[in-house]
Amino acid sequence: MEHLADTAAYGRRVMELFDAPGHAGPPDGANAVGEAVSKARGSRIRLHLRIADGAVAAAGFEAKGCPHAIAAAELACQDLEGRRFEALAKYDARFLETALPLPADKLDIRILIEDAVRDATAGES
Amino acid sequence: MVSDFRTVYMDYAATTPVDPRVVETMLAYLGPEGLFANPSSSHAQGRAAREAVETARAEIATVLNVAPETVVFTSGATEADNLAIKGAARARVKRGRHIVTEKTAHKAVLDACKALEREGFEITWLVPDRDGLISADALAGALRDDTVLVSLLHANNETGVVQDVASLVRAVREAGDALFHLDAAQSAGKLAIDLAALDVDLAAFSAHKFYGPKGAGLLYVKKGVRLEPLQHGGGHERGLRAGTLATHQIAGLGHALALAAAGREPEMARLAALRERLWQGLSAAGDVFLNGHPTLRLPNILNVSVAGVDGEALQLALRDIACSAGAACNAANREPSYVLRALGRDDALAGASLRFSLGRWSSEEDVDYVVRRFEREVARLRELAGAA
Repeated sequence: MEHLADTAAYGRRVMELFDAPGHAGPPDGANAVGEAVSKARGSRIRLHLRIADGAVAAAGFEAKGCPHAIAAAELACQDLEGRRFEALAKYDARFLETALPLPADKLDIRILIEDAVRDATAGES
Repeated sequence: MVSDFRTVYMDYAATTPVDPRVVETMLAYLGPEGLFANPSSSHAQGRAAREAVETARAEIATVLNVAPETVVFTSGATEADNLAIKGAARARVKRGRHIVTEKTAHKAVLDACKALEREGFEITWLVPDRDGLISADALAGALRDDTVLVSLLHANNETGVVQDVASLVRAVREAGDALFHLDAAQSAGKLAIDLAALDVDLAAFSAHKFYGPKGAGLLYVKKGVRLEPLQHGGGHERGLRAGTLATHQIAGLGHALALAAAGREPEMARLAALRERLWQGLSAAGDVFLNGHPTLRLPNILNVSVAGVDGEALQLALRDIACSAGAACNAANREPSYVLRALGRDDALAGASLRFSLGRWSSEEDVDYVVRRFEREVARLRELAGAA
């Protein structure tokens, strides 16, 4: 057995985003949704976007995953708002690696976020 | 984080604080005014220290209903398990090289058996049923003519499930002359343990599980059982465990066990009621599953799996509560508890499990706080997960 979370393993940024994410749940009027799943990690992230005038007017997320995945989804939502919709197909979430930061064994969470964003661009309703 | 944030300790199965009465006892053997002399010395101070050691040994022997000379002091249950398993296997190697243990044993047992495997011993790993119990029939089926040792847990450290030791020992006696080693680290102080009645050959104990000091434990070695010692250097403890006897540790161990035995029944009834209150509270969150047998468990352990949340996220969310998790955190390849996997839990549920263990300083307020925090965080994480 392991003892409960060693908070030092997460860092202040991850803890803040995990404890009080401002973008939890779909925003009003969401018209695009994208989902990505990591079977190995048992994580699932769903991004909801409200696209207006060709740009992301609002973003929100649903996430079942580790604290880093939840923090990454929150930070990605903050970053996505204001971006041009047509640019999202090439969305680069590499900034998460240093902004959170992501530990070496969790770098794949960045890919999970990028996959969810790309899926959203394909699924605008 | 919530404004009424405080910390609650619910990890008594991992370790306990030393009871202040035991601290008092131990202090008498440490300072320059105390009985600090080497218990092996023949001068008056040494003899006084020796007397303290033998008083503790007698105290322990009374609680466990065995002869004092069958008690061998060690640094804890890990050393006692190693001495029992490796010591018995190596001493009996001419009779055979087969050992029976369980997949859900404590790591001290698992790793000692694996070490023997590398020496050429063959290990049969019993798998308990979904409630965590090992049947006498399953054990009997695993025994062979060349079986020299059976090593099983009295109570599982993760789930608290208590085995029917008497029937398991009977199965071994009926089959042949294999020795029976019982790891009683978790059950000591919580269950009445009469080693003579149980008829085991070897039994391991650790003081820090019952409000004694860390670094102190014992191995019961039934008269006539031969062990190959693991360390040499002075012939202490009937040649089975060399090293200067730690008087303060041993006195603390003896006093702690005596205290635990004296107050056992009312304290266990109190803890069982607290645990039930905790279970009722946690299970109200819905989709919370009890791990282990519904009734045949230690009164102080509650192990649950929580559906619909990620285990690591739940652990971080409840970081104000000191309990244990059924999975190693922070690894890309999370390793859900091998004990819960053996009980048939899938990776998700085994990974999202928590062991709460109550003890002497646990209160209703603690339980109610944990229930409130659990309800809030499970609801929050499930809401975050939404349709995801």
